[in-house]
Amino acid sequence: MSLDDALTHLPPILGALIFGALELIVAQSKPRTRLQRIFQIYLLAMFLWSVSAFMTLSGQVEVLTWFRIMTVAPITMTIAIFYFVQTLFGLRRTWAPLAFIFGIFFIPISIFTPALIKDATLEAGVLHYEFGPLLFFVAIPGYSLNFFSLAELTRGYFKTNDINQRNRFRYLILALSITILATLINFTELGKYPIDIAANTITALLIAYAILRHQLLDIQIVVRIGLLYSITTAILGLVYYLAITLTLSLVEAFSGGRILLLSVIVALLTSVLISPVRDSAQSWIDRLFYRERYNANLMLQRLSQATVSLLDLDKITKIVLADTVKTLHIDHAAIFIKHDSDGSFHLLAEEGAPKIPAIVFGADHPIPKWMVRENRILSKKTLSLTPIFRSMWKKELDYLNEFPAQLFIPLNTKGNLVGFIIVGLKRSAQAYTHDDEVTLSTLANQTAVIIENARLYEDLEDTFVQTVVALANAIDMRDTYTSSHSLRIAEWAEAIARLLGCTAQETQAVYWGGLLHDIGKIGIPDSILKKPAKLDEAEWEIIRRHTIHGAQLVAPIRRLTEVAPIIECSHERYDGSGYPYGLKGEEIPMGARIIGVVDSYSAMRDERPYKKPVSHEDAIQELKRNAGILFDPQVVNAFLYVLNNEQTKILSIMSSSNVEEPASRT
Amino acid sequence: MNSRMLLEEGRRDELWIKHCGFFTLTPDDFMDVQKRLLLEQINLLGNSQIGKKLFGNKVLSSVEDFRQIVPLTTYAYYEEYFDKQIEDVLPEKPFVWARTSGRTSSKGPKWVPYTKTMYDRLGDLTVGAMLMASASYTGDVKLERNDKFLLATAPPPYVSAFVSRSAQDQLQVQFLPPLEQGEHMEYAQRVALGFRLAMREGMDYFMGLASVLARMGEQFEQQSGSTKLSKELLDPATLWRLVRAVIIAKLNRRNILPKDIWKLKGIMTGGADTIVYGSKIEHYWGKKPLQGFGCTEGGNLAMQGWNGKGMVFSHDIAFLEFIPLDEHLKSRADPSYQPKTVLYNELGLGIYEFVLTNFHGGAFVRYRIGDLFEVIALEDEELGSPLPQLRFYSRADDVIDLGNLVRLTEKDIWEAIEATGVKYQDWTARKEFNCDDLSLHIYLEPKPSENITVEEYGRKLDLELSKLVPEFNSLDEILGCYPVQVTLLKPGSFDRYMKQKQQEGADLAHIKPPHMQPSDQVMQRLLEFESSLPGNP
Repeated sequence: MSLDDALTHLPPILGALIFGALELIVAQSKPRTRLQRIFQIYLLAMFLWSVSAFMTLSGQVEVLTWFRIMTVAPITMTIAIFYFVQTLFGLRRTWAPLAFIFGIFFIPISIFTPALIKDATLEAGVLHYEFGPLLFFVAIPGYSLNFFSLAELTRGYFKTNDINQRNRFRYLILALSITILATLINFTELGKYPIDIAANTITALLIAYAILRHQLLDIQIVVRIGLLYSITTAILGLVYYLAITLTLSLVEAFSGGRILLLSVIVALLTSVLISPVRDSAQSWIDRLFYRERYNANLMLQRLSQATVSLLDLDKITKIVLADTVKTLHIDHAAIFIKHDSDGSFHLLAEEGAPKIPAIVFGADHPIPKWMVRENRILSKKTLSLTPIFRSMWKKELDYLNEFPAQLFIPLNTKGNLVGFIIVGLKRSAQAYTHDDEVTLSTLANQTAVIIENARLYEDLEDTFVQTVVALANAIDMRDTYTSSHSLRIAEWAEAIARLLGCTAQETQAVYWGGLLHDIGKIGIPDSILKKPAKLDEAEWEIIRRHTIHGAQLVAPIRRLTEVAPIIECSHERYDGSGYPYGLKGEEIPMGARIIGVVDSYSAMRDERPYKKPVSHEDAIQELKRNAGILFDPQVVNAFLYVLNNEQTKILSIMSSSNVEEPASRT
Repeated sequence: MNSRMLLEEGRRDELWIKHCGFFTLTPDDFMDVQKRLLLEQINLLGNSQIGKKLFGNKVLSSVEDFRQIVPLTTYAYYEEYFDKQIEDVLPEKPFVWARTSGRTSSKGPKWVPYTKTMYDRLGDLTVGAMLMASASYTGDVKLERNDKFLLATAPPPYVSAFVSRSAQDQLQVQFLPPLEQGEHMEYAQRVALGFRLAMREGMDYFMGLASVLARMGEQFEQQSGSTKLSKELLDPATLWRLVRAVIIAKLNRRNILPKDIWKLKGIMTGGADTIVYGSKIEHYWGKKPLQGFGCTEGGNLAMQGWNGKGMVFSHDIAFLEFIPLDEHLKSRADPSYQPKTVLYNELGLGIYEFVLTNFHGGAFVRYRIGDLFEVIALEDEELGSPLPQLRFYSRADDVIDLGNLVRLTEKDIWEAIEATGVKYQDWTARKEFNCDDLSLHIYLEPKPSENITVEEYGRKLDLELSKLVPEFNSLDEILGCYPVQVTLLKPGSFDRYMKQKQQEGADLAHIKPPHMQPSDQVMQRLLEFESSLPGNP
């Protein structure tokens, strides 16, 4: 076989194979709709076109008969595509039956009379043909129908907002355009070459791609992945075949066993030469079909590594959302978590928050109920169509529209819905693909487990914290005449921290520091703690160690890690005269400096077995006197402001003129 | 998701689920939607003057609270606000105000506020009815873009006009004539133009009165077979349609019927006449009409499935309550009695009075519209619907009770009249005194071609009523006299009455006398016109 022969015969064979395979796939696909049945007729026509082209060009059969059969294929294809488009868009053309009559009339004429094809011969592998008198009666309506179908498909493409639909239409438009252009070549001198057949093969590949990549006509292919990976093999096979044919056509002197030997050598050489290309080809196919999945897999690995050691629910959800939004190029995403108390779902974290406040999804809300029942991703489409979602309230719909929520991904652990992720639009405005959904489901499964662990740990910590707070209260009861001593200190300290511009996290740590600053006293015996007389040095040493003991007690509790240094340094003094380390100035953590001031004030104001309480005014004077010596003047100023405001509120009197509003810490 | 887009993109399954999916909801899911939307409505009402007037100082937090605390209402409760269309007392600002015909009220038309969501829901069920009317099985979507839709319904501000507008917002259907044009025309003119256009452009769906279709079918059947030449026949499409119809009729050796001219996909009608004319319409038009139920106060509320059996109520338009017949009768006897209600999932076989509460910011709360329904099945396997299937029974006021033994509805009397086989122009029936008790008096105008005496007609009617209502046989023995009286009116009586009313500028709903219980005034005028006509009945 010459190279010319190979080039002539390969396209129709390839076309026939692909169209035949597509025909089988569509025939197997369920449910069977009218649209699919019409599409099957189209595929059948294209299959017939390729087969008859191969037969015509083979030279082994009567050329004229097969060429006439070949002309039936474009007529059938034209009519099938016309009805396909009519059905696809629900169009109603009153003249639509004429297309059917056109086919019924001209198909037998094409086959059995010379009215359309007068003659066809094959000379030296080149096809020569002569059209009959009815050519224009077939061609003009035929092309008009094709252009009409093309125009409708294009209109449909621009009209739909559904990206999946757009992708599907795109390939149909391209396939039909190629077919129309290629058949037009038949009216030129180039018509003797099988360009239209080659174009049909390209069309076959395009439609196959549309089915594989975009589920054209919702055709599900179970062999999808295997088929994709066989593309590399097919391409390589083709290269082998072409290389051998080319070599044999160049070296015509060889014959018999030498041809076989030459073929083996060429095949070996080709395989060595294209070996590096093979991996690239496979990678190209991966990118073409699975690009997003590749990136998503990386994201899943990343998140798995980043979150495995984390137990802070806020941090976990922030990391998950940030990476999801970045990898999938999403505008907004949010995580809602179930509250065990009433089964409702509350917002825990969000990226790119919508402008209106989040809603609470009650336990009876149809979205979580649906996810519990179905245990799969809920799409916006399902939400807008399924009757049970008609129970959504207007304000709920407003929130989801503002988002605008595209997918709801359930977070399930051990069969329980613990929360869900909502994702908004992709920045590209493309719809979420099946691959995206698989990625998000995997992410959700991973996240659900981590969240559940973190929640269990938080529950455990809550128990710890409650125990510690109970202990702190017990110590208050032991040490002072009021159990609210620590609570009062915590509240003042929190107010000061906020005034000084501490972050929410720092302020929270200061609050806990105030609440637990005396926790270390748990180890001091009553004989020392409640001793009415002056303490000796050994007893003082025990007292001084209570801050270290307190810090050691809370440090292992993750939520109180930042509180430990505050407790430890709460008795340090600004001039370095404090304990346990004699730190001075900025060396003392801000939280500890704050606790130092308020605890001193409280100590002055409290009545103790060995002393009378100092008046508010005297205590303030004492603080002012020691500002910059024992205490951080900035903290003292802030505390006076807090106290003044407190008094103003209580006594409803004007604030004293000698207290200035402190400058915020920057 | 826009229905027009679903159709354009060929997403037929989704279109079906969106508009007809409620048929297959489980009773629990159905009630979940009902209860949740009611809670939203309670919230909205709680912030409105009309709601505060109803709830008083009570805070309602559940469906049970609502049913226990809120009284059943009638239009009188809303009259002071709605007649003047006062909007700031409402739970939500209305999008449009619709009015009733006033046929069911002695005080004239009622005005009803519609919020945007309520308005949108009108079209929802209309599209659902179009799908069901043309389907042969669940999920069978025959609706296509640019389908021709002949609407024989009233103009705005009647709710049926908003039904059309809302449907047009949802779908790309072509109304015959176009809504913008048709809304400014007289009803009869509009319907006539619609049919003329349908001759040229075809017709896929009809929505309106069953009697209009039945009457048209009769006219076709009675025609001589000759067709008058008119300029419309110059139109090739019209001519083709006619030629085809003539061939079909000739092959069947009969006159042309509408079904030879148009291949209707679906017919949608409401009211008692659908059942009466159902088989006639199928004979003439080749398609059984799909019955729906709607009212101005509640919108489109229910429709039959594709198999044409019972109607299923929509889950998201109004909160549905039903008063069992015995409770209904108690409350009729004692208007101060607050009857108990049951919910949709609690219905058993039997007759119930329907009570509705608008969702989506509407204003009617536990409102008695005065319609009775009969539950004919608790589910429909063929449709895959596990929900109660109902049919319209009667207007509560239209039931004629004879000696507490027989209850006759408009449908019963109409069916009996049809079954006599006597062709008639129209009829009306009311309770009158006879034998010291209330009896049924039927006034019927036979077609001029009918040659029948009152006695003969009475016998035929008695026979048909006895077939329909078995208890009717022994009624005269129990009552001591025959409780049905017939008067045959002279030809032209109803026509004269209607022309006179038209000249007086009467509203569409008041042009012809009602079938059931016409007032003394209406009867007096009808009989006056009748007596002024020459000849004998």
